[in-house]
Amino acid sequence: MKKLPMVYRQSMRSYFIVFGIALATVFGLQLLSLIFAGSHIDLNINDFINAFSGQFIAIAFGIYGLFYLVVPYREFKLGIQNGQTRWQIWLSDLLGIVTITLITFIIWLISVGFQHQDWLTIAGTLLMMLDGITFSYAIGSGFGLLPRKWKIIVAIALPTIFIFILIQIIRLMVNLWHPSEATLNTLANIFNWQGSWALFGLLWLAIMLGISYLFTMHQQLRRD
Amino acid sequence: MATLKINQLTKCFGRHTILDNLNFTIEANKIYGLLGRNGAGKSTLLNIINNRNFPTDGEVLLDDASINNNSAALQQLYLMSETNMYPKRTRVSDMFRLADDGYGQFNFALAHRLTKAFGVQEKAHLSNLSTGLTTIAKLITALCVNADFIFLDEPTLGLDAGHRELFYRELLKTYEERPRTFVLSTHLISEVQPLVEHVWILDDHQFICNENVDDLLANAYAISGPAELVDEYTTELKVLDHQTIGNIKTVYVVQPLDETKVIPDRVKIEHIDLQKAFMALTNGEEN
Repeated sequence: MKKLPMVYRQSMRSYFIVFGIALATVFGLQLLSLIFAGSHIDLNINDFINAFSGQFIAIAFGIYGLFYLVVPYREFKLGIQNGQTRWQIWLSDLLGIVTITLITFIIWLISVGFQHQDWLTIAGTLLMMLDGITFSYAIGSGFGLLPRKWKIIVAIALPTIFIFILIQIIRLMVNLWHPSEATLNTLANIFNWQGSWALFGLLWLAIMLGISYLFTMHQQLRRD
Repeated sequence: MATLKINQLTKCFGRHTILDNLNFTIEANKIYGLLGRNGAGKSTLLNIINNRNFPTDGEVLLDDASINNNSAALQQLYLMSETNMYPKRTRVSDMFRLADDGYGQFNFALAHRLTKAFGVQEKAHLSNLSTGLTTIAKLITALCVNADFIFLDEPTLGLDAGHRELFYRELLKTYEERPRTFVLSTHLISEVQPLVEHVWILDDHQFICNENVDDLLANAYAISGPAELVDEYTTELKVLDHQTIGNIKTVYVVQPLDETKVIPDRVKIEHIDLQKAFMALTNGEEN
Protein backbone atom coordinates (compact mmCIF):
# COMPACT_ATOMS: atom_id res chain seq x y z
CA MET A 1 0.00 0.00 0.00
CA LYS A 2 2.95 2.32 0.40
CA LYS A 3 3.06 2.81 -3.38
CA LEU A 4 -0.54 3.97 -3.57
CA PRO A 5 0.11 7.66 -4.16
CA MET A 6 2.17 7.15 -7.35
CA VAL A 7 -0.72 7.23 -9.83
CA TYR A 8 -2.59 9.65 -7.55
CA ARG A 9 0.27 12.15 -7.53
CA GLN A 10 0.64 11.99 -11.29
CA SER A 11 -3.08 12.45 -11.89
CA MET A 12 -3.28 15.39 -9.45
CA ARG A 13 -0.36 16.96 -11.27
CA SER A 14 -2.29 16.70 -14.55
CA TYR A 15 -5.44 18.04 -12.88
CA PHE A 16 -3.70 21.12 -11.47
CA ILE A 17 -2.00 21.79 -14.82
CA VAL A 18 -5.41 21.76 -16.55
CA PHE A 19 -6.85 23.82 -13.69
CA GLY A 20 -3.99 26.35 -13.95
CA ILE A 21 -4.35 26.64 -17.73
CA ALA A 22 -8.09 27.26 -17.34
CA LEU A 23 -7.46 29.87 -14.65
CA ALA A 24 -4.82 31.66 -16.73
CA THR A 25 -6.99 31.55 -19.88
CA VAL A 26 -10.07 33.00 -18.18
CA PHE A 27 -7.95 35.61 -16.42
CA GLY A 28 -6.20 36.54 -19.68
CA LEU A 29 -9.46 36.82 -21.62
CA GLN A 30 -11.05 38.97 -18.93
CA LEU A 31 -7.96 41.14 -18.76
CA LEU A 32 -8.10 41.63 -22.53
CA SER A 33 -11.73 42.66 -22.36
CA LEU A 34 -10.83 45.09 -19.56
CA ILE A 35 -8.05 46.59 -21.69
CA PHE A 36 -10.40 46.97 -24.64
CA ALA A 37 -12.82 48.81 -22.34
CA GLY A 38 -10.18 51.61 -22.34
CA SER A 39 -11.08 54.75 -20.35
CA HIS A 40 -13.82 52.93 -18.40
CA ILE A 41 -11.23 50.78 -16.68
CA ASP A 42 -11.99 51.99 -13.11
CA LEU A 43 -15.68 51.41 -13.54
CA ASN A 44 -15.14 47.86 -14.79
CA ILE A 45 -13.06 46.34 -11.97
CA ASN A 46 -16.07 44.89 -10.18
CA ASP A 47 -17.47 43.58 -13.45
CA PHE A 48 -14.07 42.04 -14.13
CA ILE A 49 -14.04 40.18 -10.81
CA ASN A 50 -17.63 39.00 -11.21
CA ALA A 51 -17.16 37.88 -14.81
CA PHE A 52 -13.84 36.23 -13.96
CA SER A 53 -15.18 34.28 -11.00
CA GLY A 54 -18.38 33.32 -12.86
CA GLN A 55 -16.51 31.94 -15.84
CA PHE A 56 -13.82 30.32 -13.75
CA ILE A 57 -16.38 28.48 -11.58
CA ALA A 58 -18.14 27.23 -14.72
CA ILE A 59 -14.85 25.96 -16.15
CA ALA A 60 -13.80 24.42 -12.81
CA PHE A 61 -17.06 22.41 -12.85
CA GLY A 62 -16.47 21.50 -16.49
CA ILE A 63 -12.98 20.15 -15.74
CA TYR A 64 -14.37 18.36 -12.68
CA GLY A 65 -17.02 16.59 -14.73
CA LEU A 66 -14.78 15.63 -17.62
CA PHE A 67 -11.44 14.82 -15.98
CA TYR A 68 -12.22 11.23 -14.95
CA LEU A 69 -13.97 10.60 -18.23
CA VAL A 70 -10.62 11.04 -19.96
CA VAL A 71 -7.86 9.83 -17.64
CA PRO A 72 -8.60 6.22 -16.51
CA TYR A 73 -6.86 4.40 -19.39
CA ARG A 74 -3.94 6.81 -19.35
CA GLU A 75 -3.50 6.19 -15.63
CA PHE A 76 -3.78 2.45 -16.10
CA LYS A 77 -0.93 2.53 -18.62
CA LEU A 78 1.20 4.73 -16.40
CA GLY A 79 0.51 2.62 -13.31
CA ILE A 80 1.06 -0.78 -14.89
CA GLN A 81 4.31 0.47 -16.50
CA ASN A 82 5.54 1.41 -13.04
CA GLY A 83 4.72 -1.72 -11.08
CA GLN A 84 1.26 -0.80 -9.78
CA THR A 85 -1.59 -3.27 -9.50
CA ARG A 86 -5.06 -2.60 -10.87
CA TRP A 87 -6.31 -2.45 -7.28
CA GLN A 88 -3.77 0.28 -6.44
CA ILE A 89 -4.68 2.19 -9.60
CA TRP A 90 -8.38 2.05 -8.66
CA LEU A 91 -7.69 3.23 -5.10
CA SER A 92 -5.49 6.04 -6.44
CA ASP A 93 -8.33 7.13 -8.71
CA LEU A 94 -10.77 7.13 -5.79
CA LEU A 95 -8.37 9.25 -3.80
CA GLY A 96 -8.13 11.60 -6.79
CA ILE A 97 -11.92 11.76 -7.02
CA VAL A 98 -12.21 12.70 -3.36
CA THR A 99 -9.49 15.36 -3.71
CA ILE A 100 -10.88 17.11 -6.77
CA THR A 101 -14.43 16.84 -5.39
CA LEU A 102 -13.31 18.65 -2.25
CA ILE A 103 -11.55 21.35 -4.30
CA THR A 104 -14.58 21.92 -6.53
CA PHE A 105 -16.91 21.72 -3.54
CA ILE A 106 -14.95 24.43 -1.73
CA ILE A 107 -15.06 26.60 -4.87
CA TRP A 108 -18.83 26.07 -4.98
CA LEU A 109 -19.21 26.87 -1.27
CA ILE A 110 -17.28 30.10 -1.66
CA SER A 111 -19.16 31.09 -4.81
CA VAL A 112 -22.63 30.58 -3.29
CA GLY A 113 -21.63 31.85 0.15
CA PHE A 114 -21.58 28.95 2.59
CA GLN A 115 -23.10 31.08 5.37
CA HIS A 116 -26.35 31.21 3.37
CA GLN A 117 -26.64 27.43 2.95
CA ASP A 118 -28.24 24.90 5.27
CA TRP A 119 -26.42 21.66 5.93
CA LEU A 120 -28.95 19.60 3.95
CA THR A 121 -28.22 21.59 0.78
CA ILE A 122 -24.49 21.36 1.43
CA ALA A 123 -24.59 17.59 2.01
CA GLY A 124 -26.96 17.11 -0.94
CA THR A 125 -24.67 19.06 -3.26
CA LEU A 126 -21.65 17.07 -2.12
CA LEU A 127 -23.47 13.80 -2.74
CA MET A 128 -24.64 15.00 -6.16
CA MET A 129 -21.10 15.97 -7.08
CA LEU A 130 -19.79 12.56 -6.00
CA ASP A 131 -22.56 10.84 -7.96
CA GLY A 132 -21.68 12.87 -11.04
CA ILE A 133 -17.93 12.30 -10.93
CA THR A 134 -18.18 8.58 -10.14
CA PHE A 135 -20.60 8.25 -13.08
CA SER A 136 -18.02 9.99 -15.24
CA TYR A 137 -15.27 7.74 -13.84
CA ALA A 138 -17.31 4.57 -14.47
CA ILE A 139 -17.88 5.62 -18.10
CA GLY A 140 -14.19 6.56 -18.49
CA SER A 141 -13.10 3.19 -17.08
CA GLY A 142 -15.52 1.38 -19.38
CA PHE A 143 -14.24 3.30 -22.38
CA GLY A 144 -10.72 2.31 -21.33
CA LEU A 145 -11.63 -1.29 -22.13
CA LEU A 146 -12.76 -0.49 -25.64
CA PRO A 147 -10.76 0.03 -28.83
CA ARG A 148 -11.24 3.37 -30.59
CA LYS A 149 -13.86 2.10 -33.06
CA TRP A 150 -16.00 0.54 -30.34
CA LYS A 151 -15.72 3.66 -28.21
CA ILE A 152 -17.43 5.67 -30.95
CA ILE A 153 -20.07 2.99 -31.47
CA VAL A 154 -20.83 2.68 -27.76
CA ALA A 155 -20.79 6.47 -27.25
CA ILE A 156 -23.54 6.80 -29.84
CA ALA A 157 -25.44 3.58 -29.18
CA LEU A 158 -25.66 3.67 -25.36
CA PRO A 159 -27.35 7.06 -24.96
CA THR A 160 -29.65 6.24 -27.89
CA ILE A 161 -30.70 2.94 -26.33
CA PHE A 162 -31.11 4.62 -22.94
CA ILE A 163 -33.37 7.38 -24.35
CA PHE A 164 -35.35 4.83 -26.35
CA ILE A 165 -35.95 2.63 -23.30
CA LEU A 166 -36.85 5.66 -21.17
CA ILE A 167 -39.42 6.82 -23.73
CA GLN A 168 -40.88 3.32 -23.94
CA ILE A 169 -41.17 3.08 -20.17
CA ILE A 170 -42.90 6.46 -19.97
CA ARG A 171 -45.21 5.50 -22.82
CA LEU A 172 -46.13 2.19 -21.15
CA MET A 173 -46.72 3.91 -17.82
CA VAL A 174 -49.00 6.51 -19.38
CA ASN A 175 -50.97 3.89 -21.31
CA LEU A 176 -51.12 0.99 -18.91
CA TRP A 177 -50.51 2.23 -15.41
CA HIS A 178 -53.44 3.92 -13.73
CA PRO A 179 -52.52 4.29 -10.07
CA SER A 180 -55.02 5.11 -7.36
CA GLU A 181 -54.94 8.41 -5.53
CA ALA A 182 -53.51 6.70 -2.46
CA THR A 183 -50.64 5.25 -4.50
CA LEU A 184 -49.93 8.64 -6.02
CA ASN A 185 -49.94 10.20 -2.55
CA THR A 186 -47.53 7.57 -1.26
CA LEU A 187 -45.22 8.15 -4.24
CA ALA A 188 -45.40 11.91 -3.73
CA ASN A 189 -44.49 11.45 -0.06
CA ILE A 190 -41.53 9.27 -1.00
CA PHE A 191 -40.28 11.81 -3.53
CA ASN A 192 -40.84 14.69 -1.14
CA TRP A 193 -38.84 13.02 1.62
CA GLN A 194 -35.24 14.11 1.29
CA GLY A 195 -34.05 10.81 2.71
CA SER A 196 -35.26 9.02 -0.45
CA TRP A 197 -33.02 11.20 -2.58
CA ALA A 198 -30.11 10.69 -0.20
CA LEU A 199 -30.64 6.92 -0.35
CA PHE A 200 -30.93 7.02 -4.11
CA GLY A 201 -27.74 9.12 -4.27
CA LEU A 202 -25.86 6.70 -2.04
CA LEU A 203 -27.14 3.71 -4.00
CA TRP A 204 -26.05 5.35 -7.27
CA LEU A 205 -22.64 6.08 -5.75
CA ALA A 206 -22.23 2.45 -4.67
CA ILE A 207 -23.26 1.17 -8.11
CA MET A 208 -20.87 3.52 -9.91
CA LEU A 209 -18.00 2.55 -7.60
CA GLY A 210 -18.79 -1.12 -8.19
CA ILE A 211 -18.87 -0.67 -11.97
CA SER A 212 -15.63 1.32 -12.02
CA TYR A 213 -13.97 -1.35 -9.86
CA LEU A 214 -15.11 -4.07 -12.22
CA PHE A 215 -13.89 -2.18 -15.29
CA THR A 216 -10.53 -1.28 -13.72
CA MET A 217 -9.89 -4.87 -12.65
CA HIS A 218 -10.42 -5.96 -16.26
CA GLN A 219 -8.34 -3.19 -17.80
CA GLN A 220 -5.77 -4.42 -20.33
CA LEU A 221 -3.24 -2.89 -22.66
CA ARG A 222 -5.09 -2.26 -25.92
CA ARG A 223 -3.58 -2.91 -29.32
CA ASP A 224 -4.88 0.31 -30.97
CA MET B 1 16.15 -16.46 -5.49
CA ALA B 2 12.78 -15.73 -7.06
CA THR B 3 11.65 -17.74 -10.07
CA LEU B 4 8.94 -16.94 -12.56
CA LYS B 5 6.87 -19.89 -13.69
CA ILE B 6 4.61 -19.80 -16.69
CA ASN B 7 2.08 -22.60 -16.53
CA GLN B 8 -0.10 -23.80 -19.42
CA LEU B 9 -0.34 -20.31 -20.83
CA THR B 10 -2.67 -19.84 -23.78
CA LYS B 11 -3.71 -16.62 -25.46
CA CYS B 12 -6.33 -16.27 -28.15
CA PHE B 13 -7.50 -13.18 -29.98
CA GLY B 14 -10.96 -14.06 -31.19
CA ARG B 15 -10.62 -17.37 -33.01
CA HIS B 16 -6.86 -17.00 -33.48
CA THR B 17 -4.60 -18.78 -31.04
CA ILE B 18 -1.43 -16.75 -30.55
CA LEU B 19 0.17 -18.75 -27.74
CA ASP B 20 -0.72 -22.35 -27.12
CA ASN B 21 -0.12 -24.03 -23.78
CA LEU B 22 3.32 -22.61 -22.96
CA ASN B 23 5.16 -23.96 -19.94
CA PHE B 24 8.52 -22.59 -18.92
CA THR B 25 10.51 -21.07 -16.11
CA ILE B 26 12.45 -17.83 -15.90
CA GLU B 27 15.25 -18.15 -13.40
CA ALA B 28 16.97 -15.45 -11.41
CA ASN B 29 20.12 -13.71 -12.67
CA LYS B 30 20.16 -15.04 -16.21
CA ILE B 31 20.02 -13.31 -19.56
CA TYR B 32 17.45 -14.83 -21.87
CA GLY B 33 16.75 -14.31 -25.54
CA LEU B 34 13.17 -14.50 -26.78
CA LEU B 35 13.20 -15.00 -30.53
CA GLY B 36 10.47 -15.41 -33.06
CA ARG B 37 9.35 -14.15 -36.42
CA ASN B 38 7.03 -11.16 -36.75
CA GLY B 39 3.64 -11.93 -35.27
CA ALA B 40 4.90 -15.00 -33.40
CA GLY B 41 3.48 -13.65 -30.13
CA LYS B 42 6.64 -12.40 -28.37
CA SER B 43 5.16 -9.05 -27.30
CA THR B 44 1.89 -10.69 -26.31
CA LEU B 45 3.80 -13.14 -24.12
CA LEU B 46 5.78 -10.35 -22.44
CA ASN B 47 2.62 -8.32 -21.88
CA ILE B 48 0.96 -11.28 -20.18
CA ILE B 49 3.98 -12.03 -18.00
CA ASN B 50 3.95 -8.38 -16.89
CA ASN B 51 0.20 -8.41 -16.15
CA ARG B 52 -0.58 -5.85 -18.86
CA ASN B 53 -2.81 -8.39 -20.57
CA PHE B 54 -4.66 -11.41 -19.29
CA PRO B 55 -4.07 -14.90 -20.65
CA THR B 56 -7.01 -16.80 -22.08
CA ASP B 57 -5.86 -19.72 -19.98
CA GLY B 58 -2.97 -20.55 -17.67
CA GLU B 59 -1.11 -18.50 -15.11
CA VAL B 60 2.10 -16.67 -14.34
CA LEU B 61 3.57 -17.34 -10.90
CA LEU B 62 6.35 -15.61 -9.04
CA ASP B 63 7.52 -17.87 -6.24
CA ASP B 64 4.29 -19.85 -6.56
CA ALA B 65 2.04 -16.78 -6.16
CA SER B 66 0.05 -15.45 -9.08
CA ILE B 67 1.36 -12.13 -10.36
CA ASN B 68 -2.15 -10.90 -11.14
CA ASN B 69 -2.91 -7.90 -8.92
CA ASN B 70 -0.01 -8.92 -6.73
CA SER B 71 1.86 -5.78 -5.71
CA ALA B 72 4.93 -7.57 -4.35
CA ALA B 73 5.27 -9.56 -7.59
CA LEU B 74 4.72 -6.62 -9.94
CA GLN B 75 7.38 -4.68 -8.03
CA GLN B 76 9.87 -7.30 -9.29
CA LEU B 77 8.91 -7.05 -12.96
CA TYR B 78 9.66 -4.28 -15.42
CA LEU B 79 8.79 -4.30 -19.10
CA MET B 80 10.26 -1.87 -21.59
CA SER B 81 8.34 -2.00 -24.84
CA GLU B 82 7.66 -0.10 -28.02
CA THR B 83 4.18 0.89 -26.76
CA ASN B 84 4.01 4.40 -25.43
CA MET B 85 2.90 4.09 -21.83
CA TYR B 86 3.39 7.73 -20.83
CA PRO B 87 1.24 10.84 -21.25
CA LYS B 88 2.15 13.15 -24.13
CA ARG B 89 4.14 15.82 -22.29
CA THR B 90 6.27 13.41 -20.26
CA ARG B 91 9.94 14.34 -20.00
CA VAL B 92 12.79 11.84 -19.84
CA SER B 93 13.42 12.95 -16.24
CA ASP B 94 9.71 12.27 -15.49
CA MET B 95 10.21 8.65 -16.59
CA PHE B 96 13.03 8.31 -14.07
CA ARG B 97 10.97 9.95 -11.33
CA LEU B 98 7.97 7.72 -12.05
CA ALA B 99 10.13 4.58 -11.99
CA ASP B 100 11.52 5.75 -8.66
CA ASP B 101 8.00 6.38 -7.35
CA GLY B 102 6.81 3.01 -8.55
CA TYR B 103 9.75 0.74 -7.73
CA GLY B 104 11.83 2.80 -5.32
CA GLN B 105 15.64 3.13 -5.26
CA PHE B 106 15.96 4.15 -8.88
CA ASN B 107 19.65 4.45 -9.81
CA PHE B 108 19.70 8.17 -10.68
CA ALA B 109 23.51 8.31 -10.77
CA LEU B 110 23.64 5.64 -13.46
CA ALA B 111 20.74 7.28 -15.30
CA HIS B 112 22.56 10.63 -15.41
CA ARG B 113 25.74 8.95 -16.65
CA LEU B 114 23.85 7.03 -19.35
CA THR B 115 21.89 10.04 -20.59
CA LYS B 116 25.21 11.81 -21.10
CA ALA B 117 26.80 8.78 -22.75
CA PHE B 118 23.86 8.33 -25.14
CA GLY B 119 23.39 12.07 -25.69
CA VAL B 120 19.81 12.30 -24.44
CA GLN B 121 18.53 15.49 -22.82
CA GLU B 122 16.79 14.66 -19.54
CA LYS B 123 14.53 17.68 -19.94
CA ALA B 124 13.40 16.65 -23.42
CA HIS B 125 9.77 15.64 -23.92
CA LEU B 126 9.33 12.09 -25.14
CA SER B 127 7.00 13.30 -27.87
CA ASN B 128 9.81 15.46 -29.30
CA LEU B 129 12.39 12.66 -29.43
CA SER B 130 13.16 10.51 -32.45
CA THR B 131 12.30 6.79 -32.36
CA GLY B 132 15.90 5.95 -31.48
CA LEU B 133 16.20 8.48 -28.69
CA THR B 134 12.83 7.44 -27.27
CA THR B 135 14.07 3.84 -27.21
CA ILE B 136 17.25 5.00 -25.47
CA ALA B 137 15.27 6.89 -22.81
CA LYS B 138 13.22 3.75 -22.17
CA LEU B 139 16.35 1.57 -22.08
CA ILE B 140 18.05 3.83 -19.57
CA THR B 141 14.97 3.63 -17.35
CA ALA B 142 14.98 -0.16 -17.67
CA LEU B 143 18.67 -0.44 -16.80
CA CYS B 144 18.32 1.79 -13.73
CA VAL B 145 15.01 0.55 -12.32
CA ASN B 146 14.98 -1.45 -9.11
CA ALA B 147 13.41 -4.71 -10.34
CA ASP B 148 14.72 -8.27 -10.49
CA PHE B 149 13.20 -9.23 -13.84
CA ILE B 150 13.73 -6.81 -16.70
CA PHE B 151 11.97 -7.53 -19.98
CA LEU B 152 13.19 -5.64 -23.05
CA ASP B 153 10.89 -5.87 -26.05
CA GLU B 154 12.70 -4.70 -29.18
CA PRO B 155 15.37 -2.87 -27.16
CA THR B 156 17.27 -1.71 -30.24
CA LEU B 157 14.36 -0.27 -32.21
CA GLY B 158 15.66 2.74 -34.14
CA LEU B 159 19.13 2.60 -32.57
CA ASP B 160 22.18 3.15 -34.76
CA ALA B 161 25.13 0.73 -34.62
CA GLY B 162 27.09 2.89 -32.16
CA HIS B 163 24.21 3.20 -29.74
CA ARG B 164 23.44 -0.51 -30.00
CA GLU B 165 27.04 -1.35 -29.15
CA LEU B 166 26.97 1.05 -26.21
CA PHE B 167 23.69 -0.43 -24.99
CA TYR B 168 25.07 -4.00 -25.06
CA ARG B 169 28.14 -2.86 -23.14
CA GLU B 170 26.09 -1.01 -20.53
CA LEU B 171 23.71 -3.94 -20.19
CA LEU B 172 26.58 -6.28 -19.35
CA LYS B 173 28.12 -3.73 -17.02
CA THR B 174 24.91 -3.19 -15.06
CA TYR B 175 24.35 -6.96 -15.02
CA GLU B 176 27.80 -7.50 -13.50
CA GLU B 177 27.25 -4.78 -10.92
CA ARG B 178 23.79 -5.94 -9.98
CA PRO B 179 22.93 -9.40 -11.33
CA ARG B 180 19.26 -9.81 -12.26
CA THR B 181 17.26 -11.42 -15.01
CA PHE B 182 17.06 -9.84 -18.44
CA VAL B 183 14.81 -11.09 -21.22
CA LEU B 184 15.69 -9.66 -24.62
CA SER B 185 13.12 -9.97 -27.36
CA THR B 186 14.74 -8.95 -30.62
CA HIS B 187 15.26 -9.63 -34.29
CA LEU B 188 18.95 -8.70 -34.16
CA ILE B 189 19.94 -12.21 -33.22
CA SER B 190 23.62 -12.08 -34.14
CA GLU B 191 24.11 -9.01 -31.98
CA VAL B 192 22.55 -10.48 -28.84
CA GLN B 193 24.12 -13.92 -29.21
CA PRO B 194 27.16 -13.05 -27.06
CA LEU B 195 24.85 -11.77 -24.31
CA VAL B 196 22.22 -14.45 -23.92
CA GLU B 197 22.66 -17.66 -21.95
CA HIS B 198 19.35 -19.25 -22.71
CA VAL B 199 17.09 -18.95 -25.70
CA TRP B 200 13.41 -19.46 -26.41
CA ILE B 201 12.24 -19.60 -29.99
CA LEU B 202 8.55 -19.04 -30.56
CA ASP B 203 7.06 -20.48 -33.70
CA ASP B 204 3.62 -21.71 -34.59
CA HIS B 205 2.22 -20.63 -31.18
CA GLN B 206 4.72 -22.71 -29.19
CA PHE B 207 8.35 -22.87 -28.19
CA ILE B 208 10.30 -24.88 -30.71
CA CYS B 209 13.43 -24.28 -28.70
CA ASN B 210 13.91 -23.75 -24.97
CA GLU B 211 17.52 -24.39 -24.09
CA ASN B 212 20.92 -22.95 -23.28
CA VAL B 213 22.52 -21.19 -26.22
CA ASP B 214 25.72 -23.24 -25.88
CA ASP B 215 23.79 -26.52 -25.88
CA LEU B 216 21.76 -25.41 -28.88
CA LEU B 217 24.78 -24.28 -30.88
CA ALA B 218 26.78 -27.39 -29.96
CA ASN B 219 24.29 -29.35 -32.04
CA ALA B 220 23.64 -26.79 -34.77
CA TYR B 221 25.46 -27.55 -38.02
CA ALA B 222 25.75 -26.53 -41.63
CA ILE B 223 26.68 -29.52 -43.77
CA SER B 224 27.85 -28.58 -47.25
CA GLY B 225 29.36 -30.21 -50.29
CA PRO B 226 28.31 -31.93 -53.52
CA ALA B 227 24.56 -32.40 -53.39
CA GLU B 228 24.56 -36.20 -53.77
CA LEU B 229 27.16 -36.66 -51.00
CA VAL B 230 25.35 -34.27 -48.65
CA ASP B 231 22.04 -36.04 -49.30
CA GLU B 232 23.66 -39.39 -48.65
CA TYR B 233 25.24 -38.19 -45.38
CA THR B 234 22.05 -36.57 -44.12
CA THR B 235 19.57 -39.30 -45.01
CA GLU B 236 18.91 -40.10 -41.35
CA LEU B 237 19.03 -36.50 -40.17
CA LYS B 238 16.19 -34.04 -39.87
CA VAL B 239 17.10 -31.37 -42.40
CA LEU B 240 15.59 -28.09 -41.28
CA ASP B 241 16.66 -25.89 -44.18
CA HIS B 242 18.81 -26.10 -47.26
CA GLN B 243 20.44 -23.97 -49.95
CA THR B 244 21.74 -25.10 -53.32
CA ILE B 245 24.16 -23.16 -55.52
CA GLY B 246 25.02 -25.13 -58.64
CA ASN B 247 25.93 -28.60 -57.44
CA ILE B 248 26.93 -27.41 -53.99
CA LYS B 249 24.31 -28.00 -51.36
CA THR B 250 24.23 -26.77 -47.80
CA VAL B 251 21.81 -28.23 -45.30
CA TYR B 252 21.16 -27.09 -41.75
CA VAL B 253 20.49 -29.47 -38.91
CA VAL B 254 20.04 -28.92 -35.20
CA GLN B 255 20.62 -32.30 -33.61
CA PRO B 256 23.58 -34.39 -32.42
CA LEU B 257 25.55 -36.04 -35.23
CA ASP B 258 26.53 -39.67 -35.20
CA GLU B 259 30.25 -39.50 -34.45
CA THR B 260 30.84 -43.00 -35.79
CA LYS B 261 29.47 -42.11 -39.20
CA VAL B 262 32.18 -41.47 -41.78
CA ILE B 263 32.13 -38.01 -43.27
CA PRO B 264 32.66 -38.08 -47.05
CA ASP B 265 35.86 -36.36 -48.19
CA ARG B 266 34.29 -33.41 -49.95
CA VAL B 267 31.62 -32.80 -47.32
CA LYS B 268 32.28 -30.03 -44.82
CA ILE B 269 30.59 -29.74 -41.44
CA GLU B 270 30.63 -26.44 -39.55
CA HIS B 271 28.93 -25.06 -36.50
CA ILE B 272 26.49 -22.30 -37.22
CA ASP B 273 25.63 -19.19 -35.22
CA LEU B 274 22.38 -18.46 -33.41
CA GLN B 275 20.85 -16.53 -36.29
CA LYS B 276 21.45 -19.40 -38.74
CA ALA B 277 20.12 -21.88 -36.20
CA PHE B 278 17.06 -19.70 -35.71
CA MET B 279 16.49 -19.50 -39.47
CA ALA B 280 16.87 -23.23 -39.81
CA LEU B 281 14.51 -23.94 -36.92
CA THR B 282 11.84 -21.56 -38.11
CA ASN B 283 12.56 -22.51 -41.71
CA GLY B 284 12.21 -18.93 -42.72
CA GLU B 285 14.16 -15.80 -43.37
CA GLU B 286 15.36 -13.43 -40.73
CA ASN B 287 17.39 -10.26 -41.31
